[in-house]
Amino acid sequence: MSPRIKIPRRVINAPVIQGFIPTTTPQEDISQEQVIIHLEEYEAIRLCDYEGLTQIEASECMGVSRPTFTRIYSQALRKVATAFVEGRPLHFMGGAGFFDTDWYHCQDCGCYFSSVTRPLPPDECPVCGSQQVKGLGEQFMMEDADNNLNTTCPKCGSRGSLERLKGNRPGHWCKKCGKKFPSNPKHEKL
Amino acid sequence: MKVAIASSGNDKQALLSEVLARSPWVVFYDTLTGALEFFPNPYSHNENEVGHEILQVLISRNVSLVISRRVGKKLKQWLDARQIQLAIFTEHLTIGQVLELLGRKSSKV
Repeated sequence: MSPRIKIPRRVINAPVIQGFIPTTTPQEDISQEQVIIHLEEYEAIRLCDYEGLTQIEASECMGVSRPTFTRIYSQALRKVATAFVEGRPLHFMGGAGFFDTDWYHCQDCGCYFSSVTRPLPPDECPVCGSQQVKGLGEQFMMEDADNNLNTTCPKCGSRGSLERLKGNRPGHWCKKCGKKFPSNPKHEKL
Repeated sequence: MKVAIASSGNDKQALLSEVLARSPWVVFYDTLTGALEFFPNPYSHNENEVGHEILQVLISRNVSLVISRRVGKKLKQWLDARQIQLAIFTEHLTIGQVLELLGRKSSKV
């Protein structure tokens, strides 16, 4: 029986940083002990604890049911607690989230901006006109996607045939059978 | 292009405001003509529906880019629906610095 496909979770605001490092952790230990917080988990904490929404309101924002939201939120809190108690670095990366607007970061002026030229990426920063722009979807999701290119396709079973969807769209597609998966198959408990 | 900038004051030394809808002033800047207007936000102290009210002002002035430090979730969804672009600065910039960046783009065109 094929696993149930996860509905991608809407992420309104991307994290402005890529993670936290404990002040006592030496630089060389960061990659070994880091706790990975997925984008949807970051968004759950932001909505509930920063924006002050109820879990029902927050679940509507993310486009998931209330019980699913509770699971994401409790998982996020557990990870934050792990990082705090064990003194490990936190890193925002991957997950089954997608940005409701494609966000881009200008390397020159440092602003984050939304794109209105979807599906085409913007040519330049709307503020300073610089062409040094980078998609936040790429920044946060590519690392996770690259780690899973050898994942088996849940439909046809071929190995190493999954590729990331073009643009900033979340998910993968199988080069062999052409099937598209809205979220990362790694997280679908194959 | 018409730009709306959330401002905490009515001069160029004022800092970029935290949230657009509740910012005390909104700066309207036309990148083509260079026209600059400091608009006192009459809805900043309203209890609710602030985002909707300020959105009507943005639409009536044909704004295509909004610059702020943060935007509420409702207003962001409405801006997306109306294809109004959003730019967020996490640093504490002054209005003068933002106008300088916008001028940099205008000079390239």
